[in-house]
Amino acid sequence: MDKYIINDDFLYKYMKGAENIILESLPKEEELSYKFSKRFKRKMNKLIRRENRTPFMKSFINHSKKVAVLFLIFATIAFATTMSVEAYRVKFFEVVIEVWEEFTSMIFKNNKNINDRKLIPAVPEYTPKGFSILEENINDYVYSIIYVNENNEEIFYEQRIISQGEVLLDTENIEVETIEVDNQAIILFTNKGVNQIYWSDDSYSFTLISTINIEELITITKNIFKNK
Amino acid sequence: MLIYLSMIELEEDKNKLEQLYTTYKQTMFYVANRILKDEYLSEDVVHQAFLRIIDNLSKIDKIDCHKTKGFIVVIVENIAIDSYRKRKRENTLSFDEVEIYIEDVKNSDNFILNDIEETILKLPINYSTVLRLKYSQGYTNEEISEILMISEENVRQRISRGKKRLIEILAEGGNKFYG
Repeated sequence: MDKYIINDDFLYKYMKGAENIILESLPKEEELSYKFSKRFKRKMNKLIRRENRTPFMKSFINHSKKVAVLFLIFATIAFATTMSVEAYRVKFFEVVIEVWEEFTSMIFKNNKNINDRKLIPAVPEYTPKGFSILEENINDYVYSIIYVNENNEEIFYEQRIISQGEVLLDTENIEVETIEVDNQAIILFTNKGVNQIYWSDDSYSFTLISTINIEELITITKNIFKNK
Repeated sequence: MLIYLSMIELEEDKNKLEQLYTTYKQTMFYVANRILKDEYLSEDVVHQAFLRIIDNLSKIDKIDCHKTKGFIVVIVENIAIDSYRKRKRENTLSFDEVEIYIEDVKNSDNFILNDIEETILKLPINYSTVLRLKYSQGYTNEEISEILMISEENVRQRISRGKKRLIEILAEGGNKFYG
């Protein structure tokens, strides 16, 4: 009859050997030949393509999904830097765009309850040649599409119901332009080779991001204006 | 007060997932299917395991090595047990109530085992997964809580219950033990 003390030292000593046996008892990968379903392969291809994105696009999309357009209730911003302010008065919202040295802020102000509003997607009918939909998601507040082409270039489009709050965009050391396209003000800038366009109407904020050239993005933007 | 997440992603992580997929997908499916005995659910488990692996990619150094294989097998087993619980009793069984054994390991005659290793192999896998992460792969309780997506308190509990179960199995074999 043996005596054992079951403590950490005991487990550190024996667990490795036990795990090795578990792993060695598994058939070798090349001996297995399960035929995965098309559904599984499709899901995995999508996952791998998503993981193979450029670090910027990946971080942006992750960021977008988690925090993305940040609706902060009237954040107090204490930066002693220069800024320019333009305000667009619209039906329900007052949109104040502030361009700071470190970032650009879009503040939405309204007094109406938006809880009963349901998102009606504005689907772009124009996409540049060679691009197809990789991912399309919709819920009550956000509609987004990721397009991809054969060269793994991506276009990220998002339409989001706006509520009272503030959106912060990282535009440090970047020239931010506000231009008029078809009588609609849009913000555009390029950060680390990625072009970004933002605009809003009385119900939604819109985002278009891609490494493709800015003219193509503006064409998509105009097309969305037309189809709303 | 600039709230902008700059997620640092390493370039080398870009293809890691693809390499893991190529190297382990069949093994992962095998591990899931021997618990669930359902190909459809097992495929789902493999997919979910890859989602979990993405969150823990930084914990993987080499693709084709024993440690990585052990890590991936534990993740698959853990998700498969959860899936098994959900299927069996609509999630009313707690993790510890499910005792799943891997017969082909227990009955293996191909290995020369010492008494202790044999006893460890008799542990239900819901206990052995957390013990393997801790004592074989060397992860801290905090890291294990990230890998298994449970609280650190829960990790401590499972380790303690795993030890207790090990003592019970040793006792059944007529051995004396001290906790």
